[in-house]
Amino acid sequence: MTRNRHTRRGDGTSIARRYARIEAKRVVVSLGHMLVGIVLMSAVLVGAALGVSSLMTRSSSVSPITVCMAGVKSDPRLSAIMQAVAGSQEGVSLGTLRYIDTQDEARDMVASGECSASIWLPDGFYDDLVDGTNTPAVIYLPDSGAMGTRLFREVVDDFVSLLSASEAGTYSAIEQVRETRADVSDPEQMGGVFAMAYAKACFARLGIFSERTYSPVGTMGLHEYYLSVVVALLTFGIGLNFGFLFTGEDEEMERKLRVYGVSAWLDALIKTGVIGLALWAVAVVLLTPVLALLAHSGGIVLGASLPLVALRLLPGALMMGAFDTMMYTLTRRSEHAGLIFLLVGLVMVFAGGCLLPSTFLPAPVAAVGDVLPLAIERGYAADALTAGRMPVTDVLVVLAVGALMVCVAVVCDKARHHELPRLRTGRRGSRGRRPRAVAAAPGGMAPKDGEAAR
Amino acid sequence: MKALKKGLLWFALSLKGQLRRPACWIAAVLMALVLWMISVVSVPAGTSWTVLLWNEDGDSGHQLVEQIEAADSSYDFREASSEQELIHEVQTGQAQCGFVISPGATSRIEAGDEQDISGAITYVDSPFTSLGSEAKETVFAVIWQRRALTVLQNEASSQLGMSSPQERQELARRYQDFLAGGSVFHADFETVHVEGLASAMNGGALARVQPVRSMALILVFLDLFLAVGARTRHGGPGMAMTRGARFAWEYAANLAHAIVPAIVAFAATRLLETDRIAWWRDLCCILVLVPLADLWVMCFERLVRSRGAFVSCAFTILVSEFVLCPVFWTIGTYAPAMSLVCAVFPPGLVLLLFA
Repeated sequence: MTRNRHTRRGDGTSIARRYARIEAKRVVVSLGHMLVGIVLMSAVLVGAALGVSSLMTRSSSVSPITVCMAGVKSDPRLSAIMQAVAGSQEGVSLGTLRYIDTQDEARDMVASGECSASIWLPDGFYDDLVDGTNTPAVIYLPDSGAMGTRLFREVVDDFVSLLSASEAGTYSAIEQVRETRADVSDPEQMGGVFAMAYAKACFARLGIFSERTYSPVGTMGLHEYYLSVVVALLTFGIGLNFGFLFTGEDEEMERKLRVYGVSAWLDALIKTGVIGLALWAVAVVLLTPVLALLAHSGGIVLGASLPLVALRLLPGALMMGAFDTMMYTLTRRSEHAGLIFLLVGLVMVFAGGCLLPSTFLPAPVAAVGDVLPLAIERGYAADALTAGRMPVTDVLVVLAVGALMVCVAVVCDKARHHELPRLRTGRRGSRGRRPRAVAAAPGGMAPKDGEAAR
Repeated sequence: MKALKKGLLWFALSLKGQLRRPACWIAAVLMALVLWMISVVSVPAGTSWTVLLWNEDGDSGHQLVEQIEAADSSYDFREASSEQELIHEVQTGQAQCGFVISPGATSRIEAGDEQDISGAITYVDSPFTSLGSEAKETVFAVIWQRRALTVLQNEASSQLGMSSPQERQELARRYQDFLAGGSVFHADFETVHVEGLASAMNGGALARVQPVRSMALILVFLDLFLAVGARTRHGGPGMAMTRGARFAWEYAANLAHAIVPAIVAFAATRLLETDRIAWWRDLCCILVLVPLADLWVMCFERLVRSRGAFVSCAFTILVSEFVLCPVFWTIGTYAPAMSLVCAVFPPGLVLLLFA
């Protein structure tokens, strides 16, 4: 009876099932410990992605600045004009307006960094403007040369240019009427008519431009693009967290696994499956509410229903599971495993278009980046989110890349255990010796309960 | 003195151990690769003031292009060699945006009314364009120098009947005189020097994009973080020591762990960073960061008991640091308070103090 049970336990399928159960248990338990970190990471990633995509769109690209204004308070006509300017679309996008009293205050506010620019309008500025007296406005700018300040100067220059050309036109009309048309009793009033015509033309100025937009991310919106980046980075980041489950796994344990019938293939496949499923589950749980919220608010357009989109993400997560397995097999016993994993990830982030679309990168970098796992996962996630019908080739590609990485992991594992033809002679420690435990192990010996658990 | 000697011995032994590990050198090479990649990647919106022009309107359009190129502006207006080049450079972020002067555009601008000029210039941009709307204002300001005379002559003709060629010429002469004479409105610009913390917040270290320097400091910090995570698992000789001795041993071991990454970070910063500062300031950044970050990580480790939770913070910290430090953008210019949040982590603090 006991012998039968042992035989059954020693059977390959049973061992695989038990090993898979143990690995799954380890991952689930570790997920509990990492929960706060993972939730924080997701929040930061989603926030950063939405922030970056918003930052890069034209609407909110330049940070608003604070502009101080002196010499306006005393003149209600100027106040009314400045309020209208501050409330206009250009004014709102440029920054906020703050009223102060004196010229010295205007200078000091810039010097102290309380505002990014100051404008001082001398007494009687408005009347001088109407009378045609040249009284310049004084504008104080910091020497830092920050982008917002530079842009403010550009806008002021443009405004001055419009105003001066309009003034030149109005004054020349008044002068000509005064000299040549005695029948016009009030040339100044006629000047007002010209000023109105100029104001009208200036307000309609943007009608001169027709617009064409060429996107480096194709037909996809930036929010969709960066959400696919979030999916890729989230699966990568959680995979990095799982690393501590595998770093420091000692050689003795690996030998025991071989003795109990867990081959390198089985080990890699089980780890890939378990990690991939965990990545997928966590990604779905964390991202589904975000996707639902964004789809509901019109922030993104999903190509399919939410459950279907969630299901589509599974092959990509399995590929990332294979990547994690490969990386940790390659760097298993190194104290630098985490850093190497992270640095490889960063290379993939920059080269794989996770920060900026590939079109912004130097051609050789983009070419290499496009074939790296993170770029493949990002592209796959983008299709999973936005495509109405998921291309079968996409699924096949991610599964093939995943299989390739499992193969690399297995080859590396076998090489470590000298199960491949030997390439070098052993020199020091247990690394150079053949695993005697494998040879000495009595065939079919059953593991005790819990012995396989680390 | 004895404790110091012991500490130095631990440091030397740990460093020796580190230098003999191939993984240490693999990590160093990867780190150099990441920093090189950072140096070749640039956020288009943050750097380019280039605006391309393409003329399809013959000689008069060419004159307008020259006028726009000569304008006193922060933008670098440049004529493209083809419309395709213009589109490609805008799409790849090498140019902020572009303007195509359509056939007959200049004659419409100079003669037509508002209906006629509608859509005379085609504005080309990408979703990554950040300064395009202001570039439109600048281009219009140049066009307005021509257009203002047309408005004047059209209005004089309709309101006052001044439509004879002599009267139109006279108006044009007066208009040019006023414009050239400087008797019209203008603004005087004065530059004010900004000092102290205000300088740091508005134009200082955290307001300047320093991709390689920032990333190098972040990577050294993360190296220490992950090394501490790995060491907790391995245990090591520190487990058999008293609390004080163990702290000193761990501190020395971490310092030794960060030596190679710190050297790579310093070298890469000096070689690849475009935002140049004095070499001793870069050295100070590294020399202060390593012990400070070591202390920070060890304190953090004691706060977070679970190793899983500790390691899971690494990627979160990386992303947070990436967003907060001036790697590709300066968060402080969008939300000034975030500059101070950045200083919570050692790389941000070191940047604020020395860069």
